[in-house]
Amino acid sequence: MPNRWFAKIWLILAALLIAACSSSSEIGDTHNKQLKPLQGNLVLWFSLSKSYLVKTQVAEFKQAIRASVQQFTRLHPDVKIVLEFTQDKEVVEKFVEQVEKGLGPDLIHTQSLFIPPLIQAGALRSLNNYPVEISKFRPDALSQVRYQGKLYGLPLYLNTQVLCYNKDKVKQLPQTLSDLIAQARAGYSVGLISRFEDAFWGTQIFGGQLFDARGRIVLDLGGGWARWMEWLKAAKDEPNFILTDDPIALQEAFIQGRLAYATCYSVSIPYLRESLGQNKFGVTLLPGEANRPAGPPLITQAILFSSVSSPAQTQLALRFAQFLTNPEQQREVTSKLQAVIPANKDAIIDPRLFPIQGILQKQSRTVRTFSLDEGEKLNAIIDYGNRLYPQVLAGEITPDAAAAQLTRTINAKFGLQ
Amino acid sequence: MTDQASLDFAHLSDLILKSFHALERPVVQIQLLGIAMVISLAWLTSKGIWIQLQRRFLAINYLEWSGGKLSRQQYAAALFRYLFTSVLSLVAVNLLRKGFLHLGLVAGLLTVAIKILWVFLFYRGFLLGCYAAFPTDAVSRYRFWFFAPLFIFFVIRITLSLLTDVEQLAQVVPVKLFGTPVTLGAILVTTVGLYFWIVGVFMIENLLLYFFSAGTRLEPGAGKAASLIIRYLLIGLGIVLIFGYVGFNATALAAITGGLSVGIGFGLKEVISNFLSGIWLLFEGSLKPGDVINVGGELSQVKELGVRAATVQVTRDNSKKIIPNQLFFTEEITTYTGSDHLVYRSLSVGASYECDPQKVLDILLQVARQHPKVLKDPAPRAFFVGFGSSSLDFELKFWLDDPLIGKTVTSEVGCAVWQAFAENHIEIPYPQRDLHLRSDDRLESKSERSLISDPND
Repeated sequence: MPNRWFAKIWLILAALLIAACSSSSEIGDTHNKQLKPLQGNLVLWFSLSKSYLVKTQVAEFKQAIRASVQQFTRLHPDVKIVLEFTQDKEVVEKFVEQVEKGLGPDLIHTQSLFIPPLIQAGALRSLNNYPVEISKFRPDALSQVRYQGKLYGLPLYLNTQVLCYNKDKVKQLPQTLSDLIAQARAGYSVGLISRFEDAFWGTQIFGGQLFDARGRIVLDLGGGWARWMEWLKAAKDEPNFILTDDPIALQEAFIQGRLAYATCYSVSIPYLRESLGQNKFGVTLLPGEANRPAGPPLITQAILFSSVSSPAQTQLALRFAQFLTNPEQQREVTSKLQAVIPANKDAIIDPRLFPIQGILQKQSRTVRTFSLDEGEKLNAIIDYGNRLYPQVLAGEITPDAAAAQLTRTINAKFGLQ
Repeated sequence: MTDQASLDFAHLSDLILKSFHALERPVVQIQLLGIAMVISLAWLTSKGIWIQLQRRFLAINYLEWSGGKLSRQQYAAALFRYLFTSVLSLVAVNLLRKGFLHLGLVAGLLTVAIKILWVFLFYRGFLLGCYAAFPTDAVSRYRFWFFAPLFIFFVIRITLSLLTDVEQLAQVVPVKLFGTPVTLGAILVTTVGLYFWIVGVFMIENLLLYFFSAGTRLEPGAGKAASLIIRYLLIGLGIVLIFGYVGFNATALAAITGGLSVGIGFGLKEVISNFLSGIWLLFEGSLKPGDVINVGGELSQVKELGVRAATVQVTRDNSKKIIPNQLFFTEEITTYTGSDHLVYRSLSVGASYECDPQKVLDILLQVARQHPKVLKDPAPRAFFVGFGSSSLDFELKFWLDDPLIGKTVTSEVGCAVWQAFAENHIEIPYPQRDLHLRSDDRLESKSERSLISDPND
């Protein structure tokens, strides 16, 4: 009996393998592939951060993505796409676990900062050998999906920092840092996050920069960061001006109406809008100075490609990724969410119809972008910078000294003297 | 169809799609092919070695599950035959995995295969241990009904977990019953879970019976009754737990069965009565498997106590009767094994009037004591019962511990008594009559006269 069962099981396995092999397309030339109707199956993982979305918004976001998928499958009836939503925090671990077995999705949507560890795990496929149209993407977004000269994904959505405000409390929006201080003195409470990465937006206002052209840290050059730190030190002593390293507490204070202004990331806009109330919630540009706008960081969400997909699956995945990043799809999703900026340069959203989107688009023009190649250095800078921040604000160390110390330490660590 | 229902069916169709999608990938195909090849190779190798061993050691050709326990040599052969393939496969897949990793190939599925093979090896080893310790037919039976399906279920679960979130899959609602969504998980627990629970309970029952019969002083019948009670309790508990776990809507069932209760009540009256009678009999202990009873005027032995009826074997012709449990409740039944299995038999015998009665009594007792089946305690008794018309009448009474051997033992004792009487010159008389001849003058004269006046003279 067991021998017969053995034989039956192997026969079934063999039949399945033959069926699967026969359904895998052979690798023909690209031109022929483009003429043939698209067919095949795709698995796509879309990550979403539930901490930034309330329940109804999660459902709306999922619906928006599903609509894109359905549009694609309507255009290509022989294509079937399995769409799965995963938690932001779990997606990398789960993806690597699946790829190690040869399983998992063909495409994964996640933050571009996960690209280096995914490459290390051998989970991502480089797109250098594939005909991909990238000229439509913003160059700053593209720099966040390139690593060590290779392209590993397509940028999908971008997000950055803006200044959120309570319309019930605010009468006039601040344009400059001085306006912000003046408003604080006038009783309009302001909340800023005092962590290196979250407060870096002010460095550009004072002419500071992080890296030079050779990739060395030059934070102490020109004193831009130091002057920004001086400004923060002075501001924290102002009445109604709150500096905190707890972003959740700041968010709560804003939702409860205790703050008129708070810096916020664009992905949290739907949550804040829902919690504070649509009529009360507003966003504006981070204040700068006359010729020096604020330079918040740019964070890219990208579509990445699995290294274990078959050639046919990869081709199909590319086509779908390009569809998702076309201007119409980008406009569709971003205008619904009003929380992210399209990565496609041609996806223009009318700010008169979508004012929040207009602000985000405007702010994204002055962002500070850090490429993935600088990621390791950036992590070291943030880590060290966060240790120095409270010391500077408490007066234990001067901002200039802190800038010099940070520059020296990190450059030494990476051999960049 | 509602959106939720569409979504749920979509979840299932997605799972199928993902399976085929995965199989389309060369990295998956290579791994599966590699696993299949090395396991086939391992199987062929072990088969080849086994054939060589069979040629060299002829005794191991008789490795059969004959119903009894295996001998040591058979067990050693079984150890090789049933474990070697698994061990070889494990080693081969491990080596293949190392090879894949060395070449920079994806080898995650091989890791999963190794995990399954370890479990398979443990499963085979466990079964072998059971074959060594317990009757092979019972082990084979539970291997087929319990252990093999359990292993298959484990493999299916592992395979599914590769493709999807099993917890999520268990939440898919394929159907609604009485307005309540019934998830896949609930269906699985109710069918597969209940199946394993019930088979597991039967297995535990057999195990208990085995231990009861092996080392304890417990009567077999009592052991069977105890295990039956445990079986019903555990099955009942399992049903309650499972239906409670799946959130069975008892209200809906109550609503339906309430309306049908009258009809059901009448229709199932006998069934329920028999069921309750059976339960009561078990708890009461007045009837249990192995008991010898007299039912319908025939000596029978209780073979099985079921939910509805008891099965008894008639000793006269070895036929079986199926008697509804209710009967034992409503009618008078004689049992020879109620509180104990002792039964006494008696043998009546006559000796001639010329014998010494005391000697006869001694001989009778001696014969009884010499028989191996006659109990020493209580001791046999012999009685002089009376002066019969033909003989001195005696009665020999003796005790046996098995009601079913009464006739046989009585016959043997009877033969031994005859032999002993013959050796001691004690006659067993036939029925006797004394004939007395008596003279009567009137009759004599009449007869003489009739002789003298014979007309023929």
